[in-house]
Amino acid sequence: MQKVTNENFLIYHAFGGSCNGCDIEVKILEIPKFSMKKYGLKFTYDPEKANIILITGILTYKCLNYISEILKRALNKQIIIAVGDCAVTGGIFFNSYTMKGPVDRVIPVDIYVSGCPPNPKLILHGLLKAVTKIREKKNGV
Amino acid sequence: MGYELMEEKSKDHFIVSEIENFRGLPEVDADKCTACGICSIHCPTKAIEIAMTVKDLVHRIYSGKCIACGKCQEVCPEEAIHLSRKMGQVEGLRSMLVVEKIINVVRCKVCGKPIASKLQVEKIKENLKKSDHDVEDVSSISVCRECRILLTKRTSDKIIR
Amino acid sequence: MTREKVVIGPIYPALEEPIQFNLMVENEKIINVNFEIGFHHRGVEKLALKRNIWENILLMERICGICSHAHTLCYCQAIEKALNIQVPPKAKHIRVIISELERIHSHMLILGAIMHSLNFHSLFNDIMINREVAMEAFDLLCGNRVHYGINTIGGVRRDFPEKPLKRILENLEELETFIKATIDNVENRREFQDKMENVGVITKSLAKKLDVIGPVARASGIPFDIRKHHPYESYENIGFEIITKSEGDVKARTLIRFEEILQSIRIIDQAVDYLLNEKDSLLCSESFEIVSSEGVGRVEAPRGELFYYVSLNDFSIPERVKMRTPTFANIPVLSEILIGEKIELALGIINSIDPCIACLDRSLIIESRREKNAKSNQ
Repeated sequence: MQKVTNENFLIYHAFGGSCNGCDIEVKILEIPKFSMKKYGLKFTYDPEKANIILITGILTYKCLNYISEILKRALNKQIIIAVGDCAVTGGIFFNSYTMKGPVDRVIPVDIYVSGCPPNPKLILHGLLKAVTKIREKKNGV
Repeated sequence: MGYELMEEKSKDHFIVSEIENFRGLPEVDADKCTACGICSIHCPTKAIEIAMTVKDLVHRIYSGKCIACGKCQEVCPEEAIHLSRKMGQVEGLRSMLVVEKIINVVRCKVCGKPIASKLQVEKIKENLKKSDHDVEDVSSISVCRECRILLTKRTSDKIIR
Repeated sequence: MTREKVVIGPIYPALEEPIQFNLMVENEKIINVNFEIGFHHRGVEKLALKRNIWENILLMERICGICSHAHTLCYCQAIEKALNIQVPPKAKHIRVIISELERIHSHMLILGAIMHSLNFHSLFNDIMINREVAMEAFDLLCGNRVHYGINTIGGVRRDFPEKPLKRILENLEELETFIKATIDNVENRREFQDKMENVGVITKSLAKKLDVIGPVARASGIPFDIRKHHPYESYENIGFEIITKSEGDVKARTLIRFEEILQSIRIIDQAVDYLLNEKDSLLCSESFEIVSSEGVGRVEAPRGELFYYVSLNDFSIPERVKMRTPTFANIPVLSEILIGEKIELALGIINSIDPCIACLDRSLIIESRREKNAKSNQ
C-alpha cells in the first residue's frame, strides 16, 4: 500500500460512555478497506503525544471525572473532534440524569461529525479535514 | 485520492451512499408539504421544526439530532417526506448542521407576510365552491390576521359615523 | 518479594469499553482482584417511563451497539405475550435471519479482540476483514450497518427481496471455508497451546455455583441454550446442534465460538430457503388494544440469556421496564479465575468472558462528602 504523505498524525480515542456503535466504527478504520495508514494516521495510547483527540458518547458523570485532566491540558495544542449524535447534541439520551455533555458544554470543539452511527467513510472525511487544519496552523506559524 | 476528500464542501454538498435502500437524512418535497406539523410531533429526538423566519415559512431538520429512524415517513399524511441516501454532515460550527427547505406559501395582499401553504388554501377554496360561496369575496384567505383587524376597524368606524 | 498494584484502567489498548480493574501482583502472579463499574450508566430504565411503547423500541436499540437486535426482539416479545398478539410466520423467519447474522458479527469481533490481546496480530487483521461479509449483509438488507431498526410490535418493518438474499448466501460460503481453516490453525499450532491451554479454567462445579450462562457455561460442560429448551420465533422447525466442551479454559471458549458461527450459517441457509419458496406476504399483525397486563421475554443473545419484564396499564406509556443482561451474570466469575495466573495473560482471560459493559451498567454508586466525614468522626 503506497503512502500519500510522509508525515504522521497521532490520534487518541477517549471514551465518554456511548453504546459502542461509534467506537467500533472508529476502530475499524485500520483495515485495508478504509486504510487510514495511507494518509499517515495512527492510533496512540499516550494523550501527551497525540495531535488529534476524538470523543464519542454522552459524557457521563464518572467518565468526565476521568478524562477532564486530559481535556484541560489539550485546550490550545490539540484538535478536538466530536463523533456521533451523542457527542454532538446528546442524541436520544438528551434528558438523562447522568449526562454532563454534550462535548461543547465542557470544551470548544473544532469539527463535528453527525450520524447515528456515522459511516466510516464520513469519519475518515472528518479526520482529513482535521489534518488540513493542522497543516494550516503549522504554515501560519 | 486522499486530496480529493480534503476540499472544502459547501452546505449543499453531501456524501451519498451507493446502496439502494440506505436510511439517510430525510428530504422534503416543497410542493406537497402543507406545514401541518405532524412529523415534528412524532420525531423522537425533536429534530424537525417548522419555523417562521422574517420572510418565509421554513421546514428545518437538525442533522445533529436525526437518528434516521423513518417515523416521519410513516406518519406524513401527504407523503411529502422520504429518507434519502445522504449520509450526514461534517462541519466546523454547530449552527451549520441544518437542512432547510422553503415551503410554497400564499402571502397577504397588504403586508406580504405568509398566511398558509398553497395546498391548504386551494383545499379551502374547493370546499367553498362546493357550498356555493363566492371565492373572491372571502378575505380570510387573502389577508393576514393583523391586517384583517385593521381593515374591519376602518369599515366599522364608517358605519357608526 | 515485591508487591505492586497494577491498574488496567478505563482506557486501555485492546479493552474496548471503560471498566477498571485493580490487581495486586507479587512475583508476576496475581493475588487479588477488585473492579469498579459505573462509567457507562445512562439511566435507561428511567428514560423508558417517559416515552410510549413504540418510541421505546428506538431507545432499547441504543443500549448496546453490538447486540442491538436482541434487545428490541426481547422487548417486543414481552409486549406481544402481555397483549396476546400473534406474529405471522414470514416475520418470524426474517427475525431469525437477522439474529443469526448478529451472532456471527459479534463472535468475530470478540475473537479478534482475544487474538489482539494475546499478540497474534495477523490473525486479528484476517478476522476483521472477513467480518465485513456480515456488515455488508446488514447494509443491503436493513439500510444501516449498526442499529438495524427492523422490529416493531407484531412483526417486522421491511421485506427482503430475492436478489440480496442470494448474494448473501454466496458470501457466506466463502466465510465458511475461512472459519474451517482457522479452526485447524488454532487447534494444531504450537504458539496457541502455551497461551491458551489450561489458562483461566472454570470447572463444572464452579460454573454451577456461580451460575454462569451462554458460551462460557457451554465450554465448561453445561448444555443449556434457550433456542432448544424454550424455543421462540421459528427455531422449532429449524435443525441445528448445541456445541459443548468440557475443559473450560481459554482455548475451549475460543473454539466454541468458531463452531457456533458454522451452526449459524446452517440456520441462515434453512431460513432463506423458506423465504424463497413460500409465498406469504403478511409482514405485521393487525391492530391491537392496550389493556392492563404484564409480560416476560427471553432470548438467546450472543453472550447468553437476555430477560425483559414489561408491565402496562391502560395508557400507551409503560409502567415499569426491567432488563437483566447476560454480562451481569458472568462478571463475578473473574474474581475467582484471575488469581494465580501470570499478569501478561490477564487481558486474554478478561476478553474470553466476552464483557459488554454498555449492557452491564444499571446502577451508579457515588460516595458523598457527608458520609465520609461521618465515618471518620465515629
